[in-house]
Amino acid sequence: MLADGRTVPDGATLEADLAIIGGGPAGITVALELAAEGRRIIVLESGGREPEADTDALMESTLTGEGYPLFRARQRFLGGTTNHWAGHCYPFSPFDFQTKPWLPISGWPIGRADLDPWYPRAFDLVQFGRGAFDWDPQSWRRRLGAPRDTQPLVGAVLEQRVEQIAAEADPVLGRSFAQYEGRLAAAPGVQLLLHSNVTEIVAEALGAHVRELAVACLGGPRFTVRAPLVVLAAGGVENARLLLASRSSLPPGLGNADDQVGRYFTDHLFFAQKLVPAGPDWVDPLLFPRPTAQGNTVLAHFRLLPEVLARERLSEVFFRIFPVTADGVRASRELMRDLATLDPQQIDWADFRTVAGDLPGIARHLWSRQRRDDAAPTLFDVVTRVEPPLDPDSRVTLTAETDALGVPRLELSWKVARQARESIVRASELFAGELGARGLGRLQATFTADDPWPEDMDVGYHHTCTTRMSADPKTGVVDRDLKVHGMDNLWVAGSSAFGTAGSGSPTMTLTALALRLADHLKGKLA
Amino acid sequence: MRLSRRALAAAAGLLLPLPAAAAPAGPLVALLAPLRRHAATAALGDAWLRRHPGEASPAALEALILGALGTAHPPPGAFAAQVCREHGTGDHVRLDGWLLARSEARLLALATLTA
Repeated sequence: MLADGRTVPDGATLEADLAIIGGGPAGITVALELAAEGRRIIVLESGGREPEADTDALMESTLTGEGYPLFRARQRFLGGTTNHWAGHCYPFSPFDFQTKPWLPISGWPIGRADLDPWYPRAFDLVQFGRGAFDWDPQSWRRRLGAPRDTQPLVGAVLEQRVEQIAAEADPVLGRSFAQYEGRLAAAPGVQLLLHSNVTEIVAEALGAHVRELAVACLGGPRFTVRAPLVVLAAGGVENARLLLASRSSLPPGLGNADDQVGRYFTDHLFFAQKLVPAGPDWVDPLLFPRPTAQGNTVLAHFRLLPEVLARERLSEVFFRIFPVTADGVRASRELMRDLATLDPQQIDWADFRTVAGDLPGIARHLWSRQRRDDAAPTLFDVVTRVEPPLDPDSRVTLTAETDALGVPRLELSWKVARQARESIVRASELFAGELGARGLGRLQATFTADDPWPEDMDVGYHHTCTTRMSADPKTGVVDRDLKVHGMDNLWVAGSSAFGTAGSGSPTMTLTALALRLADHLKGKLA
Repeated sequence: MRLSRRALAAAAGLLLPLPAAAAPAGPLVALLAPLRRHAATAALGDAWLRRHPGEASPAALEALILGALGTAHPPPGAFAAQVCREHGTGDHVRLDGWLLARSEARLLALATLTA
């Protein structure tokens, strides 16, 4: 059943077998899996079906440190951050889960084998049934009809990893997990409540057991939800905020006896470098996004081999290559888009000048497209992405201010360790070395470890690790089963529970983790 | 002098199709021919010479390049192979961000001096 929390009577108490806080990919996945069990499940989603200003205002935060674009990173309505998800997915590698002695905090208390049983189903969920669970570059080159199935740049330093990009499966909802609303609403026993904000997870006196959830609607009722099992799946930083704000039984907040909640905030960083290819021989079809027979898109990127990362004591870095588009082509595309608005205010007249000044570039582009010739580009952007090492001082804390519902606002102090910069520089040298040694091209790597971040530097919007998974409560918040350390009926789902940011985009892995959690909870509900 | 991105790309591009099959009349003549009188070559060559003023003579550069090759009469393809070797062993230099083999950078400097 789908309902609006604003229709619940003020002061009411709702009961369920399981309460899920958050209607994003993690919460929806757990609910979908357990819906078939015939149990009573309440899913509490803060937003509605689209962004709303008053709900968004609940996320206003103080940003210090490197100044993370937190507001843009979050989506507080049904579907959560999948509402702006770019669709990239691939399983994390076994190396992602391993402890790396050269990094200050690393490793997960589970390995890749612990997620393997759930990855295929997670893949099916995030791809909306449109992909092929195949991560072998050679296999994909054959599927795509490439003239050869090897990649000359792969060898002693680099490997190639396949990505699959989810299709925008719904004309309105795109890649949003909100597409599963109908299935949830139709499931007997499931109550999906929109506009329902959990303001506190209320625990018993010792903070080891959740008694109930305090819920409030903006301009509407306040009510209580009671369930013996609770899953917190409110988002990468909101999970930490809610644990810290749930302090009526224990002042440091729930699961925070060791002052770990909110620490280790991280995200991937990336920017573009330049590559001149030596020739077309190594430019295989997997380097560029390719539509597949299944309806999604496949491509591949290069990453340093685990033994190279270990030998060089580096953080994970990968390189994704795109042809540089001629200035005239870029300007003509923008011009066409602006002209289509029929609004002179929207038109950047400088684009006319750029188009006129780059007719040869446009001609080359058209000729290349006519020939469907991937080898034509003479310059590539090399998107260089790093997974920064975890830093306990990169963290979410609460401020003295409160939001409209009385929940303390958060402050995010984002820090990026110097090791991330050094890893980019060294990894780029190694990549350039491979290009040069094999006669495949040259890399322009203008960034050095002492430089400010490049102007085009961006983040992955993969806010992770604020309630990280760790066997030791002194270095994390949840255990290998995602249960909050020191508590007996509260689990955390989503990227906040990642042990590290990992080498991959998080959505498929957080979905696999949510599926694994759902199976774990089935045992508890039985 | 700071060149545009395209000019720099052109400079690096000049180095890529190293004339492996060319038989130099003098030891490095055939290698230098395609590099001369390019603004990009000059920019990168000048950058090398500013950093290594002690190498700012054609004789010094030629000696260093041939010294790395280990012969005064390199066979066709020897220079290209040396450049690959230097890349493979991490003997890089960074000129305006381009990660080039040391011998490559010296060849650009030599081309600049003899243009």
